[in-house]
Amino acid sequence: MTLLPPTDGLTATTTPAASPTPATRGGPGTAARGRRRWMPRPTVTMAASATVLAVLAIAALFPGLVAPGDPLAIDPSASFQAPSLAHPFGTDESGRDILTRVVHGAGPSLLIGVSATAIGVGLALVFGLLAGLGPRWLDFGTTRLLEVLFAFPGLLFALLFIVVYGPGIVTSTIAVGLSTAPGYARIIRSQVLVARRSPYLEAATVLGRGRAWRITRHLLPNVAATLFVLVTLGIGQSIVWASSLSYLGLGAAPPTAEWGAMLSAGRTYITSFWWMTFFPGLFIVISAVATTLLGRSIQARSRRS
Amino acid sequence: MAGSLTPTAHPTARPGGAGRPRTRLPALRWLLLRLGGAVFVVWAVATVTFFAIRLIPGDPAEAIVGGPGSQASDEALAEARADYGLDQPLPVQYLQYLGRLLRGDLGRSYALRDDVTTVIGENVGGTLTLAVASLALASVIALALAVWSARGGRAAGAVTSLLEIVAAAVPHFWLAISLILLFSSTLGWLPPVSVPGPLGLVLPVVTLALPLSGFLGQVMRESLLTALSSPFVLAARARGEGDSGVFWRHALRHAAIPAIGLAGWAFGALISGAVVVETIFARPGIGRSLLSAVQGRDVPLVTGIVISVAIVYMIVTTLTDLADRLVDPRLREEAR
Repeated sequence: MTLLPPTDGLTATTTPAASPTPATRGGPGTAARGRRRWMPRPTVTMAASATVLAVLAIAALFPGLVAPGDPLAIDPSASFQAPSLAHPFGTDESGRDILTRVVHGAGPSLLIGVSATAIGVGLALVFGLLAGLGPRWLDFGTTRLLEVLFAFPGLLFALLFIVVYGPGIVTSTIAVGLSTAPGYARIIRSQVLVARRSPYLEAATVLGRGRAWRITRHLLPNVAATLFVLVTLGIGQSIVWASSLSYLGLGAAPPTAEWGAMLSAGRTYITSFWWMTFFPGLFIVISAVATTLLGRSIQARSRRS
Repeated sequence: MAGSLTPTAHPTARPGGAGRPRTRLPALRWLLLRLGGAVFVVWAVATVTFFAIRLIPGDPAEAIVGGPGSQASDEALAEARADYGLDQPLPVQYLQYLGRLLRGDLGRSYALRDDVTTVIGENVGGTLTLAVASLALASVIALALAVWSARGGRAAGAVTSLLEIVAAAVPHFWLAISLILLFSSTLGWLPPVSVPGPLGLVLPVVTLALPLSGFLGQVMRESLLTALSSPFVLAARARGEGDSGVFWRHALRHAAIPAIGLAGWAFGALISGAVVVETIFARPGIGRSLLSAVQGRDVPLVTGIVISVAIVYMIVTTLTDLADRLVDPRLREEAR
């Protein structure tokens, strides 16, 4: 079920004993690295990936500014043109400009990724907090439920969901969100459990702080850091999975200027007109790599400090 | 590689087992609990699937006789209903369904008019070949990246890290298209669709293996670096072990443990990837059958494949947990 693999210290592995304690991380020498700052200076990776994402966001919000043309304008006389100065990314079977369509496709594609991640992380937050903070029986029940959901690995749950509710842009977005939720939920649960047993929460209890204060002022801010990394990493993954569904004809349908749908439309022409599939796919890769790099660099920084 | 791990290579292995802290869960009880849990999950998956497909709008009998637009006669519909047991009350249908599952009967495909088990049996070989070859290739690439990044200094670390992230982020379908463009259309070295024989296997395997190697590489590199900075490596050095001895005999073995734990996840990733890869390369297999079943709303075939995948997933995760316990003595001391 996890689309993100259980990598590194964020995750509890399938084994119960492996919950990482902060002491085992970092290793020697990390404590000496620099003093703490309130706003840490961004690394090169962080700045570069954030810039790429900002450009993509501008294209998504104001596509007309970046590419003034109409993404749906048909010009049969100019169909299947190879990349040139007039059409840097070439044209498709109806003579539509691929560059314009790629720019206008940024909005829907990123929106799908963001919505799917919001659904997945939102559900996961509910489950993770219920399991991590609730009574023992609730933790037991939630953990069993997650185990069942994990037995629909990868895209399987999404495919089952699409069988029931039919293909389309909305169902595929929800399907990707639901498929990713159990993986996030397990990470959030383990983070909540780590935070619950932490010395700072013990200190707050000793100081006589109430339960609500401890949860809102101490526990949630600590889980939020993990959440931020999860969301950043998740958006890239969601875009990839949602576009895979579109490519398979189960997500956004071809006339729409969405990257996955454009790929799906170009599928029949792969060997003759490569630019129809190459460029939309390139932008999926760029956005996925940029979000992953950003997420990883934030994660590396938070672990170091 | 897991079986060869000796406890002495382990940081927490205590000589003679002296001073064991917590109560020790007997291995047999652990195994029974684990198996019981696995059976529960398979039952739950079957139940969820059974009731989920009842949410599909429309009459399943119409899907059997050929979709909503088929204008089948009432007799044909009634016959189809009786044929597939759809005229029974829901609880009876559910119990019959569970009974058939226990006998290993997954029902009959609507579209192919064939037993689901037969369809799976015909297709499982292709997917298995693809998955095993991809997993092997991905492990080799991941291991090479991890070793290179650990031994090659800072620059190598940064390069491999970037390579792994890019590999993990590339969607299968785009990778497949790019590989077809390069090796089939431009160079003409390899066939663009999967033909029988080893040559037709190259592009599908590479497509499936590269993203997987990115994920595996990240995990292996991380655990390798943790292992290299842990006390048992220092202890090995203190005993006079050389650089390569420390690396190959101690750190690398230790780094394999988290990779074993990823087996369940890797299985899911391979199945999902197979859906895309088998479709693009027109290769017969479970993934392609699943996709055409989803597109045609062939409910028995979809549920049959989903349940089979869940069963195999549970077998894989149970075995990896077992392997983890055999390899890692710390886990045997965990009591809940």
